[in-house]
Order: sequence, then C-alpha cells, then structure tokens
Amino acid sequence: MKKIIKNGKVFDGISGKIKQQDVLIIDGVIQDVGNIDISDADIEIIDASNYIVSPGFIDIHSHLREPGYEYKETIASGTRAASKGGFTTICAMPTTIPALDSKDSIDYFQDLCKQRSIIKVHPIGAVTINRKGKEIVEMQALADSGVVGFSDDGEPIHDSNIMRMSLEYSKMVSRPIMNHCDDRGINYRAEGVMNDGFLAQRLGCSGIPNAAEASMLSRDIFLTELTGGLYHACHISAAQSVDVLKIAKERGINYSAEVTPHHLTITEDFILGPDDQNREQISENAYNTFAKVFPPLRTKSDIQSLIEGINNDLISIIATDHAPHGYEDKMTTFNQAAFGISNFETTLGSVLQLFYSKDIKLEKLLKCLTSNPAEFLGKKLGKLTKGYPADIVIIDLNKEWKVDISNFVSLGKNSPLQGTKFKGKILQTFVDGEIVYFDDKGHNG
Amino acid sequence: MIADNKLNNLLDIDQLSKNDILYIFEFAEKLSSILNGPVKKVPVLRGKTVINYFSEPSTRTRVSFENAGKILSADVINVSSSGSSDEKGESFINTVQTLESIGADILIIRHSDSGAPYFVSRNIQIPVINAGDGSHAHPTQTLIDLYTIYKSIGEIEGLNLTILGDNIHSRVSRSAVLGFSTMGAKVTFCSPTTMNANYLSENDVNNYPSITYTSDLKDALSESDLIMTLRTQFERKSSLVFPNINEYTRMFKLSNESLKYAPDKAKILHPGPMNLGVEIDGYVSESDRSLINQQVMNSVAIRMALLIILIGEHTLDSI
Repeated sequence: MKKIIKNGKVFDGISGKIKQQDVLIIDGVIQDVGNIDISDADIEIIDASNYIVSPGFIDIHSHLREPGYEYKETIASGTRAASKGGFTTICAMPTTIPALDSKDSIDYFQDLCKQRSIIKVHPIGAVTINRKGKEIVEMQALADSGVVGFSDDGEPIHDSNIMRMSLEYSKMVSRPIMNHCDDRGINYRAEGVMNDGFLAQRLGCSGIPNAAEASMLSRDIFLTELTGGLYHACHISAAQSVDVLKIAKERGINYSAEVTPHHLTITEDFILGPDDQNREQISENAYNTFAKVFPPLRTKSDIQSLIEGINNDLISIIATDHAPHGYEDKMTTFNQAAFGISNFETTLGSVLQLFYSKDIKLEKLLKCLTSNPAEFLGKKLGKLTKGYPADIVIIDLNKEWKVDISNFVSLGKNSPLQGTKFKGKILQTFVDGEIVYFDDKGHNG
Repeated sequence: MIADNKLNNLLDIDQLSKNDILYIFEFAEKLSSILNGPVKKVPVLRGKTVINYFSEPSTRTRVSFENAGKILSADVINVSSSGSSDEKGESFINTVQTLESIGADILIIRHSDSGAPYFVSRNIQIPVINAGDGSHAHPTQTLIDLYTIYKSIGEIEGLNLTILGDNIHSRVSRSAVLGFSTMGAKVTFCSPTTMNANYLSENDVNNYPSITYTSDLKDALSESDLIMTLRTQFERKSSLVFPNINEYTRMFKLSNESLKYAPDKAKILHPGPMNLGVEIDGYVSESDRSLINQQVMNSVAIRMALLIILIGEHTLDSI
C-alpha cells in the first residue's frame, strides 16, 4: 500500500523548519520525505497544497476514564476525540477504577485499548498503590507491561521520602516520575478551588497560591539533583514555577516539564462566565464550573512567564491534561464541581492563538506537540523521516471555526471555550498510514 | 435603576447603585408603618408563594424572611436540607428546579457554597434572593446595616466603618465592603493578619479604593464612626488563624476597655449570631451605642421591600 502526501508545508520534527515537500508512505511507514517524483499507478495521492503536514501530535498527559468512569469518557470516545484534535499517540493517566497500579490492571487496560482505541495509547502507571501516596508500586513489573511513566495524577506525592525513593528507583526502571505539584498544606488543606488572589477573595472562594505549586516543584527539583532520577513536572501553571525551572536548568539538573493549552491561553477571569469577565459587577454567569481546573487558571502575568518558559526551552512539552467529565460532575456549585477541562478537540485552536499573536513560533509549538514529547517517551515517534511510522496530521492553518461543545466527540463536554472563534484546524489524521480522522467526514474505525 | 427596570434577582450588592439602595430604603420606610400599626398584615403579595431554601443553619435571616412574607400575605414555605430529599442524595439543581415547578414565585437561598445562588439563578426562571452563600455574600444583611445607619445617623457618605474580626471567612464583610463603598463610606479591616481578606493585590488596587487594613485595634478604632464586629467562624476554619481564643480576645475583642480607643459617637453593629465574650462583650452589645437590636428590627422591613420589588405588583407610589 503506497500513499504520497504532495506539496504540503512539511514540519519534519528534525530540522525545526517548515519546507514544501512530499511524504511517501509505504505500508504504514515513511519511506521518503523530499521532492519526490513518482509515477506509480497504484499510489494514492493526497494533495496537501497550502496545508501544514506534521507528525501526529503526542499527548503525554490525558485521562481516558476507562475502566471505571465510562460515563465521563471511554477508550473509544477518547481516542476518537484525540484523533480529531490531531493526536496519534496519547498517554493515559492511572486515574481509573481500579487505578493502574499493578501488572494485571495495566495488562487489562492494554487489552481494552487494543480492542477499542483508534490511535496509539500508552498507560502511565501509578507511583503508589491506589494513588494513596503510601507504598510504591512494583515499578519494574509495570514498566515491563508497557507503562511510559509513573504518576499519582491528581494526588501530589506529598511524602518526601516516597518522592526521593521513587526518583532513585526511576533510574533503574528508566521511566520518569511525573508529579502534580501542589503542597496541600499551602493549599488550605486542599480546599482551594481556584487561583489565589483578588478574584478568589472577591468570590469568597478558597485560593490555591502559586507558592503551593512552586514549593513542591522546588523540592522535586532538588531531589532530582540529589538522586539523578528521572523527573517530569506536570502542567506547570505559575510564574514562580518557571523561575524554579530556570534555576534547575542553570544548575544542569535533568528534568522535563509540560504546560497545558489552557494555562497558556486563558485566565481565571473565565470563572466569571463565558462572556462576562467584568470584575466590578459579578453576573449570574459567574462561578462557571467549566473553568474549574487543577492546577487552576491563573493570571496574565503567569501566562507571560509560561510563554517565556517555552521560548527559553524551560518547558518543552505541551500536554492536554484532557479531563472529560459527565454532565452532573459540572452541573453543581463551584465548590462541589469536579476539576478539569475536556481538551483534545480544542488544543490546536488554543495554541495557534499564540502563533497568531506572535508569542510563540509555529515550529516551536509543533515541536512541543510532536518531537519533544516523542523524545520524552523515548519512542520512534514524532518525526517525519524514513523508517518512522506514518503518524501524520494535515492542518489547515487558515480555516476558521467556532467551538461548539455539542459537536465534541469526547463524552466530556466540559470546555470553557464554548463559542470561541479559532483559526486553524485538523483536516486529516493518519496512524501508521491509515486515515483515522477526516474533517467533515468523521472517523474511520 | 431598579425603579425603572425591574430587578430579576438579588445576588449581591454590586447589582445596586446608590440610588437603588436609597429607593429600597424609601420602600422600607413606607412599610415600617405597617409593622408599627395595629394589624400587621396587608394583602400585597396575596397568592404569591415564597420558598425559603436554607441548607445551612439560620435563625434571624430565615425567620425574618418568613415574617416579611407572611405580613405581606404571601404563602411562605420553609425547606431545609435536613429532612429534604437532599438527604436522599438528590442533586442540588434538581431540588431547586423541583421547588420552582411546585409553584414558587421566588426562591430565597442560603447555602454553604460560595456562588450557589448564581448557579441556581441561571438555571431557573423565577427570582432568587441570596440569603447568604458560603464566604461570598449576604446582600440583604448589608442593606439592613446600611438602612439602620441611614435611620440612626442619616448621611452614610464620608463615614468610617471599621470591620473587626474574621473577615476572610465572612460573607457579611464582603457584601458590606461593596455596599458601604457604594454609599461613599470608608472601610477599615482590623483582624489578625491571618484573617484579613487580602482584597488589595498590586494589580487590583482600583477595585476597592476605600479599604485599609490593620491589625492594631487602637489604630482601627481611633477614627471610626461605625464598628462592626464579626463572629469568628470556627466551623469554616480550614487552617490555623490564631493560636487560641484567649489571645484573640485580648487583642481584638470589643469591650468597654477597648472601646475607649474609639470616638464617643461611634456606633456598634453586629450581624449576628454573636459569640459573647469572644468578639464582643455583653456590656457593649447591650449599651446605648449598640445598633444591634435595630439591625434585627429593620430586617423585616428591608426584606418586605425586596419581596415587593422582586415579585410584587406595587410601586413605591402605590404601596
């Protein structure tokens, strides 16, 4: 089976540049990238003139909810939503029932994915049994079953001894510890529901200070220096955390860090309501639970620091933290509502705003979505070059569209971006050379 | 202005201008004559159903709303979460939608979560009055406090209000800041630094221009015209806010002793319920300078006015 994607503006994930080229695919594998003259009768030609051709996006932080929370998302719905967002590989957090903390649960999850997923899915194992922060899991056994990293996800690793030991252990099993940094003592004993500051005070809500994130991140960074372990900082949201990463880089400490599309683009003002961001008079649309996420949406100056963090290579990965929820999880008071945003289908639109605002170069954004996360995973992914799997997206940078949550493929309709106008859309997504998503035509498989 | 455009709900004081507030006072003033008359009943809201949905304990707010409704001949139904289907696990939104379907013309809501009345208001059609939501707002209390001062002192503009105590957990102080600022008063917060709601961050100086902070009681009282003490909300305390009650009362209790720092004319307010001996002494709350009983007495007239403005047919002239 032969396919050629002709005349696209190709980002290959290697040169860091975008060039007009062709991509030749044979049996699901990239055979050649360049100006290819081919006149084969049985070749399928895909015309990508005026479109970006990029490696498929790789998300190292998402939630598929299956097994256990199938009303929020399933492997089938989640991977279809991901393919619509341009993702060809995603990593699923262990926040399931049962938690992915044993060889059996990982094997079971992998089996489910084989049957139900239309893209590549890799599990992330829990660091501790049932994500309770008490006993470390059988990390080598989980690694042998295919986990790409370890995380207790929404449960920060509080016990510094557990963190230190798992970092030591990570060197042996060659998988990173991915921590959600939040010091629960600083975060009002975990009662915080939004960013700390004026708006939280105005709304009478408990705030999560930047210091809760930055202080645990500092501990982790210096434990990484101490142990030489493999460390990954999940969804950095605070300006102070970027400063901590700067120190880490200056000291030559080996770490990786991710940031989400929402922390890069929207502020806590979204809590005031989709169209009502007036701090003077709070409208009845305020306490918008779709804008409740953990870590919380922060401020313009935090966004500015995160953008600088990407531009200075302190943060190298954009990860979605896709957190789909059911209707009833969000249809309640702000305090009671679940944390999280359904993100797969809006990620590209969100981050392209930073390209159009000239804050981040397109090539940099694509690197953060493709070759950088591939490097984090240590897998042969995220590049368009001979011998790599033909996991490819075709993007129309100029296509304008409006977010309509009722059209989400994800079961989680919980997005604060309802009605937002975006420029730039996925046209086609290929996994191993097979089309899994085709704009306006839906999904295969 | 609410005299011209009907108010759809009362979620917080920031919906009201100075003229709106004065308009509500005028309404309450007229209604006071009913309260002082021989027969405390008028058919102004006959055929209307008022439902009080209180998911948190309350004495004065609930009873005063109930009495306001009954004096106006409305049918008043009280629902509390204990004994309701809340205990069977019914979701909050279903409960309030049920109350609307049953035929409520207005819902008065008290809830432990900040913002709960906003969530309710955007999901049902009938008017909602916020009777206290978490740490966020208590707009009817603020109207009562302002009305009490308006009646006993007159002009509110230029007065110095000192709010003494646990303002970080206090919905009363959050609404008070908005209401007193709107009326042109200046607000000083005085509490241990752990209980001072930090409204003033660097970027938001303009949001509440008339607030100052201090932890020095002497300083806070020295120029005050009004002193509002707040109850320490032990039930909301998520972390240590002061070492023990002893230290707190020694530094922050309003007593005959500490009142010496305040000008003689300074009046005393307390939204209730009081913890006598903790934030205020009985000698002070019962003294001539205390407006605490007037606050409670005025509460019914203000709440009657709000019920008529929100669901009644009458105007200020026809009442």
